Amino acid sequence: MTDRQSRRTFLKVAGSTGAIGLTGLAGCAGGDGDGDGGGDGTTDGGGDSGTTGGGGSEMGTIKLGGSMSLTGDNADLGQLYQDAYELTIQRINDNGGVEAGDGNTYELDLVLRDDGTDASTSRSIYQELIDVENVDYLLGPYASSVTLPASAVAAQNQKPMVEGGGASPEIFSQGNEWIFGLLPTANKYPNSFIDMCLAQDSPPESIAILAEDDTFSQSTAEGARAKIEDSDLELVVDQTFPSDTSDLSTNLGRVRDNDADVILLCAHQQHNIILANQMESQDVNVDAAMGTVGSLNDSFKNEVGDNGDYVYGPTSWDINANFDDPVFGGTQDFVDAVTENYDASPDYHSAAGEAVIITFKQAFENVDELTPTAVRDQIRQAEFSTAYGTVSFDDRGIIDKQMLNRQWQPDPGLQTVWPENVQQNAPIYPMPDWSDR
Amino acid sequence: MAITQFIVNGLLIGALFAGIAVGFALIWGVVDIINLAHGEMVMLGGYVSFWLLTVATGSTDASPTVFLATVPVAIAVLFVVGYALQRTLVQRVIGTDIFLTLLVTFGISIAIQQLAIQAWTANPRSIQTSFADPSMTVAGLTVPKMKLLAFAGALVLTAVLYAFLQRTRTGRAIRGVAQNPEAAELVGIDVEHTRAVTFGISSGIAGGIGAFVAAILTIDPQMGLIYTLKSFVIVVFGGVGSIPGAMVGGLLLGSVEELTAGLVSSRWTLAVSFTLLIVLLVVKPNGLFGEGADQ
Repeated sequence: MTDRQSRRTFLKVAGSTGAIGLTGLAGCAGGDGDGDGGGDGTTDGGGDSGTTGGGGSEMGTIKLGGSMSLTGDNADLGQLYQDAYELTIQRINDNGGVEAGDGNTYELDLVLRDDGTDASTSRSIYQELIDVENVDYLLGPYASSVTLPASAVAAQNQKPMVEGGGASPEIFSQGNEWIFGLLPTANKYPNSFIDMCLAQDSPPESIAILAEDDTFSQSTAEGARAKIEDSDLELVVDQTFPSDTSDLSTNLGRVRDNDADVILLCAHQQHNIILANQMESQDVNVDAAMGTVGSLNDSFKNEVGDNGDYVYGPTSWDINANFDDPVFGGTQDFVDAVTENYDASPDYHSAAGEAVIITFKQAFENVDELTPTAVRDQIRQAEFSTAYGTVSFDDRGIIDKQMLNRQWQPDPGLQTVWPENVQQNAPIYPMPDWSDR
Repeated sequence: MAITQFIVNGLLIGALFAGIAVGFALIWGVVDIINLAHGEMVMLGGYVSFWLLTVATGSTDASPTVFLATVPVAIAVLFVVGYALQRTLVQRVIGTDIFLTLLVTFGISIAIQQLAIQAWTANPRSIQTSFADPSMTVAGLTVPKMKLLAFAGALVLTAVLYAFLQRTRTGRAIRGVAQNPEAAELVGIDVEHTRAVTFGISSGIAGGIGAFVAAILTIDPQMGLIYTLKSFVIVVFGGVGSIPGAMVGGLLLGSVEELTAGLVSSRWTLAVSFTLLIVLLVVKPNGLFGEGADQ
């Protein structure tokens, strides 16, 4: 074959391809997340003002509005939020609405629009909801990278935003008084796992961190490093890899060569799958391995099969918990309602979504006048129980909650193993070598 | 970890890159377009193998033999996809502005990605192959058996393609069209059909490699772009239209990336690869093996 490109044409093509390719890469990289999204199109409650009526015998309406990843990469997770929002609001309205502290009764009206996990789209949606739809109370989007700019819109317009899909500490370090988050921040994700390892009869002496280079995973790794520094653990491998990396062999080789006792993978589901499979194929044996996001999903276990056994993951909610809930009655009633209506078990994203709505409900019930400022102030000082657990926020708007630690065990399956007071089974520690499985 | 281990890791993964880039180089050389949807052919090949196993066995856990049986199917399906794409879309923009061809193939790439997300969700998938002992140690070097199998598979596919181009009538027609389409047409070669066959063969090889990727890494609908970009780098290394060049370029890129990851950090691999690309574009724009490199 002959190269028929002139040098000039070649450079022109190379430049164009590179530009398009790198633009595409940047686009792909923008979708990192620790939160979730899901749904299709728009759920629009209609009406043209944020709070209407309520006087006399007529029931008024309070609009709750937000953007969500209803299509694209995170649509599966976004769907969990949408389902939880809709189910909780429907249940509240069926029970007679919200008896607000101003003496009136209101129905809740959900206005949820698709942002495709795109931060710019999400920003525009929130501004439009405030300007055009007159929404005063905002439901947060999914993923830290989307929540951070969306929370700035809430602050600029002085509207309270409650979110269950963004966990980066950056969201809460901007001095924003209008944002409240229901997920423990990313830096807390590894704590429970490290505590668990150190509490074992033969605790680990060394640990390896492999971290994806996105915002959320880096926050997780920073939290782990701080935790390790306060312990006797030696950090023998600390590597960051690009999100595009599809092969962890060399980094796993480092783990083996440095004889690390524990692996902490700060990354999303794709890399959890690669980790589990390549640990097996490269015969990398450690006492414990945890992936920070996506290692507890059924889809992870389906993809890796037995290689996923003994892997740990963090969660902010346990499906077997039993907290009182003002709408559903308790956690198990919420679980039953989701299972019955959506033919799928809820996970912590669903429960956090439910708690977002309950947070606004209890605030509406406890303010003297229904204004964004009064509602924000009430949320800031409130403490109440939901199916998700006890909700209260610190000065930055972060929920006071620690992660639980779960492990895939061969026989019973996924088990809550730490902290001890909520454990279903003791952790299987150390995990057996590959040759013994 | 020894440098030798980094190089072995690099060669094992580099053979897959090379197999993918060979098809990319072939389309570039024969059809005269940069196919930005080439990575999507890898992705689709992975899914063909994945779903074939799932439907046929009810599981994605398969013996190496059963898995290998899905590779020819992936190649065949992707040949048809490639042939159809060339006939229905790409053919219409050949000979027009280079930017138009780039935009069309980029559009195809995005459309396939989005359709794949809708059809299969964005969740990453993988095929589990069961070996009694998944890795072996040779001279102190760890070699995962499935990676070795994928390495061999990629080399075989590339060698078969090379032999096909050199020794068959269709192969000679493809080379004829690459050298001079007008002259090829004058001697009775159906240029459009030959180009479509080339597109189909390239897509088929990419699909076969995609099956191996599903077995040693993961597949997801948005995985294609990085493979397209790597193919581009490899073709620049090796020279447009040169299959041996693409082979060497792939092995070289794999080794450079793993050495960078091992000796420096994984986060520098893309930066180093693309810096090499820029240097080569400036210093040796026809690549290491490209024809006319000395002109």
